[in-house]
Amino acid sequence: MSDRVSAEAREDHGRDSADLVRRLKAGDERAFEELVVEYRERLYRVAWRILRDDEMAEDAAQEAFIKVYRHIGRFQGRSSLYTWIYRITVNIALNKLKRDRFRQLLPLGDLPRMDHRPSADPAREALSSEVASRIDQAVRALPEKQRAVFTLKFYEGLGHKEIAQIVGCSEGTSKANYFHAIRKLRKELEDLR
Amino acid sequence: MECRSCNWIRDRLCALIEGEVVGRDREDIEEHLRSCAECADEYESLQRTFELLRDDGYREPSPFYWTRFNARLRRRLREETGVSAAQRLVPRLVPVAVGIAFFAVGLSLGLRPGAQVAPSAGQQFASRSAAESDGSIISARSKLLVETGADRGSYAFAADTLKPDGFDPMTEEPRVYLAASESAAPEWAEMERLLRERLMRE
Repeated sequence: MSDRVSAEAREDHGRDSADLVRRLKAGDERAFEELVVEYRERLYRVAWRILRDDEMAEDAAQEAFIKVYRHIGRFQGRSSLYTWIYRITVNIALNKLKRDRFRQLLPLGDLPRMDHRPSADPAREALSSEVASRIDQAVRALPEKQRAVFTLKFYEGLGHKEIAQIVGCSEGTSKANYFHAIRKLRKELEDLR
Repeated sequence: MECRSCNWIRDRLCALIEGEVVGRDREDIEEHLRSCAECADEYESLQRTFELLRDDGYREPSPFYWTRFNARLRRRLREETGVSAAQRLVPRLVPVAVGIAFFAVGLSLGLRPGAQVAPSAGQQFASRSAAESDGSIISARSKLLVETGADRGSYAFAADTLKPDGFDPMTEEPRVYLAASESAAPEWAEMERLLRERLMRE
């Protein structure tokens, strides 16, 4: 029953996406606003996890929306809309990562984050912040593609088939990248366990 | 139970933790973990790593952040695509009609022999419109008109002539702009030429 429901839900979502694409292609301003509201949090989150930086993540997410806006006419529907949008975002984030590689040398853990809610438990927050800082360093040490695959699989919960489409590699390569990323992270975080 | 090698088991531990291994494979792995201490250690170690990685410092921004995000995105869209939100909402045929009307007005007022140009009025209107359109596609042509001291009718003509033919929100702006300025509005080139001649005389 749940499979049937989820299949119907997917079908509905597919129809919604097709309608959204049609309206975007027709230049419907409201459709673009709907798209932004629907995807902004996901795109920002993916970009943040690849770039590990608030400002760069916002820049990447906005750049992705601008690219979608400009190039929706080229979207052929061979992949789903969200795969296409994720692909654009990941490419932008990886390009930024290449351009700003030197930023990885900077410890950004101490920098304040924008607009985040204060913690209800400062002691726990401090411990969490220390762990987060170590994770930050470990993730920064990953090669770019591994970082992207790890983000999409671990945090976004996407399958390797979708990740392969987004990152532009084979499913096997996606699996291998994820496997190696997890191994490296485990090694880097060994003393925390 | 099929006897699986430790390598086969370890290759699937991440998938096991993520709930992606089901059925017979899952039973085989669980059985193996009960009897192989090394693989069981590996499994526990991976589980702990997964737990640690779950809180990587990412915090969802507040709802206020998204309001500002949208505002900044709108600004960037205007700057980078040369299109204001208001323009995108205007049906395309309306500016055509308005453009034709202003063309007639522009010709009768702006290009009538002996008529006085009004640079200050044009500049005021342009600066007001430029602020409104915020660097829209019309600005390049319009600036030229302002620099040459064209009147309000001529300026509006430029804006409304270029908009319907020159703007496609889903394509790159320069290509569209060139298409509009070079071929889609030949009468505009003639108007510009007349304006230049007149300015030269004056």
